[in-house]
Amino acid sequence: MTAAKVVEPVAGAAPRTLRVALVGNPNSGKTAMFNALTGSRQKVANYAGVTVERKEGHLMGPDGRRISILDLPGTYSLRARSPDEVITRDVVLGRLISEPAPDVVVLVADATNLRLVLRLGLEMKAVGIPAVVALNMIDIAERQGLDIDVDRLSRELAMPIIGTVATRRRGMQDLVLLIEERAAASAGAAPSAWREPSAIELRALHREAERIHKACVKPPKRPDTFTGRLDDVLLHPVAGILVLLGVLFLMFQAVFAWAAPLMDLSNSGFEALSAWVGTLLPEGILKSLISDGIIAGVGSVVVFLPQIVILFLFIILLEDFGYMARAAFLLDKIMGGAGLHGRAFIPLLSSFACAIPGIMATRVIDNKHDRLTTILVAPLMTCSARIPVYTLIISAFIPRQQVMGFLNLQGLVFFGLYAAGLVSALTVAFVVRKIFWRSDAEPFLMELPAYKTPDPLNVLRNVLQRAQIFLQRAGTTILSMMILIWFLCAFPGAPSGATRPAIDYSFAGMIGHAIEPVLGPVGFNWQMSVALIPGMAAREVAVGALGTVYSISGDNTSLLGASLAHQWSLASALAFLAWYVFAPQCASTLAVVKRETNSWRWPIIMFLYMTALAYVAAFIVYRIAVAFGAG
Amino acid sequence: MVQGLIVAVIVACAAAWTIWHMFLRGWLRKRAAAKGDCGPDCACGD
Repeated sequence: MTAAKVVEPVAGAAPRTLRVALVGNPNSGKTAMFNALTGSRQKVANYAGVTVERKEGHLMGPDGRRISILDLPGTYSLRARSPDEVITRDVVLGRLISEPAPDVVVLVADATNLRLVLRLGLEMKAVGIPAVVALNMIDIAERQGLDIDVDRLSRELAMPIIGTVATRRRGMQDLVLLIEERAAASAGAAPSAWREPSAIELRALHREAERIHKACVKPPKRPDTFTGRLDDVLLHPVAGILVLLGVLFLMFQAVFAWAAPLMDLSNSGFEALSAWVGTLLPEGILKSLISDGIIAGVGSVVVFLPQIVILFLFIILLEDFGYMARAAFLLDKIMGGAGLHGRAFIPLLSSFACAIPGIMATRVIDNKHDRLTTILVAPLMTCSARIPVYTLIISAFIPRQQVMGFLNLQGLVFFGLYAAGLVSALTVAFVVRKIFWRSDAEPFLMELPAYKTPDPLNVLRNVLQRAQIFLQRAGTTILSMMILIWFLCAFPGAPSGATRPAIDYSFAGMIGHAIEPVLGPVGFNWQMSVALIPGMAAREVAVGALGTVYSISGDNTSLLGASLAHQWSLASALAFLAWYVFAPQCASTLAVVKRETNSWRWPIIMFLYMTALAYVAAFIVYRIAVAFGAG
Repeated sequence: MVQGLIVAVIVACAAAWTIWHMFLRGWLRKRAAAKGDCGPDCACGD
């Protein structure tokens, strides 16, 4: 006879860590609950062998027992359709070799939208998974006038239930107590075997969920008019699009207007640091490395931190408020017209931060062709690494003036570059679908979450995380690249009797002059050509590279923007911007495409088509600008 | 002379770090994942 092995705690020894997994539908507030339970004690990694994010945190229970919390990817059913859902199912059922089965599963349910989560709850009940239900966003459900019979729901699901408001940390202590009780009550119990349900079983499950929903959830006597009234405007085909454009426009205006004083301050700081180093060190290569390489290079990238923080502050606020899902709904028709699936919105939106998570997020798209199309166009969305490049060139060449009395011209150009990325992504998707994969678009279903007041702490934590990622890159990848670029720019020195600046004789000068004939027709000088090479590591490194190249060139102006305004023509600057709208220069993105498609074919196609687009766009922009006398 | 030595060390470290970060690290993790050495606490990029 085999029996489940229960480890008895040894007297005096610390009890075993209690393992808890958070499961629920997408947008049910799992991550907010994870943050509320674990605070900053989190560790983000990936599951072995797959690119599904694994978030684990921990807390101490009231009796001092360590509780480990695992935030699992959102799912509607144990019948997994995507790699993320497979991970959730396998962890919940204890099938994943690298992940011990959780002692308790917390089913996070959106109290305002219980219909879909009930099916998942019934599936878990059928296999006997020890679980508790957290009725999250219970405050919004109460405000909407929903009457939930919690006792009956608890009996139907055979799981204890507790109301929570994760964003306000309401109900967290009670939830922890409930988890411990449930763990104690179900110690040693193992879930029974699970098998894929048949179509008949699925329909039966769905009917059962409908019956429970009808019996336990009474619709409000007086429907919530706030969400409805707001949605009447925000989801209106015309007014909604106008509001969306207004919101995006405000966001890009703010990025420039609000960040300017902070950037000026940051610039002054780096100048002062450089001057201070100059007083400490004697003239020589060490001083050149620190001033021209490290401070000028890294500093020229770090000054863009305020803009990145402001951009992400907007994105996170809009997401927490519940507006992003509405934006997806509004854009679905436009994206559908371009041959993209509605589910592509989230990957494309993620690509505004970085194409890598965006490409990884395409796994939510089931259809292979829809997914490949989204992967191919994701890098055309303006990622945050392009911001330093755009802002540097715009600040240097576009005058800081008002248009029509209230619009900031620099912000307008910035908005235009984002729009160019979006339009080109839609156009490429349209062409790809027309040429390669002619098939009917699949319908897009998504839930619109209730509007919520964003939690300031949650927003702050997410913004700080973004800032940390940016600074970490500046302190690691960018720093090391800047040192190497400085080396290429400083060695070998000029020969005796040299007539040109020393950098012309350096390795960087040689490389730049070698590439120049290819990029000359698009208006790039050799310094611009050199900057494109390290930009392969990370796009923003191009800015640091320009900083180092011009610093070593001995340009008298202390600010990089002023140097460029002095050395480049407007036509070249605009061509450089056009190049960066399409630039395929990010080795990590190409590596992720290879990994996600399991083939070299698609990264090669992506690199070739984006390079061709970048070259053609830069060429056209340069020639038109020259024709208008900007050369 | 001393300045040259310090600069040489810094440049060598930067080169080593770049090679490690951009090429070796990913390759080693991929190999570890293929062997199944990646435990639940693995922070690999795969």
